[in-house]
Amino acid sequence: MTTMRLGQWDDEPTPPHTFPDFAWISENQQELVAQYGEGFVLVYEKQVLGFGATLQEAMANAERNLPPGDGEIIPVVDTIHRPYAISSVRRSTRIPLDSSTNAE
Amino acid sequence: MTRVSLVVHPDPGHAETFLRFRQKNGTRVHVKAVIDTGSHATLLPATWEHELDIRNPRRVTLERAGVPGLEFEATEATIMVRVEDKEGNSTAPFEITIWFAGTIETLTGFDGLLNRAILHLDMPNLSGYLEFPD
Repeated sequence: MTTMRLGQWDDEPTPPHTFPDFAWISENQQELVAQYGEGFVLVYEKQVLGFGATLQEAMANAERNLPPGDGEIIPVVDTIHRPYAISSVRRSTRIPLDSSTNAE
Repeated sequence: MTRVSLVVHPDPGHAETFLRFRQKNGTRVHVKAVIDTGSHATLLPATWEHELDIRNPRRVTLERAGVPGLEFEATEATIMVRVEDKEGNSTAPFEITIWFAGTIETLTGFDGLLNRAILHLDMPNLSGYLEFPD
């Protein structure tokens, strides 16, 4: 039975499918969003194993959809979403209320 | 110097890098992140907070840059990261500030990461790199 885990141990090389799978997700982002919506995908050798609103949901979904065999696989995880016009995030610049403000 | 190649996309224009984090179970996982020179720190979806080996988590308030009123809560923490590329180049691990928020965006920001790197972005040739001093 095939088993799955995310990530490699320190002494393991990066699996050869890792970066091609990331590239495949980028190249097919629009189609994947159209099919699944926005969220997390687990992909192994250009096949979607699982999708979910959270990483944990996508992993649970993938566990039910593993390829046949006896080995252990390490899929990549990525998010799929529509392009955002605004991404930059910073600490809030809101001036906190203090005692002098409250006294007015 | 360690030079790590970026993945550059033309439409919509953006550049990505690969961050490698240690998980709580001891394994290391790759996360693809958009280079964002407008973000103070690196941002990941909140779901990663439960998986990654973070230190000193605390609650903070963030906002979308330049959009008044778009504030949201996040967890801020510190974490060790390596920056890698598909050619096998990798930095040594170093510590950064990281935010976990209710988003599915992953952004590479300044605090601890971009502020230690030279960013080269060549959009006409769809190439770029981050260069880290040793």
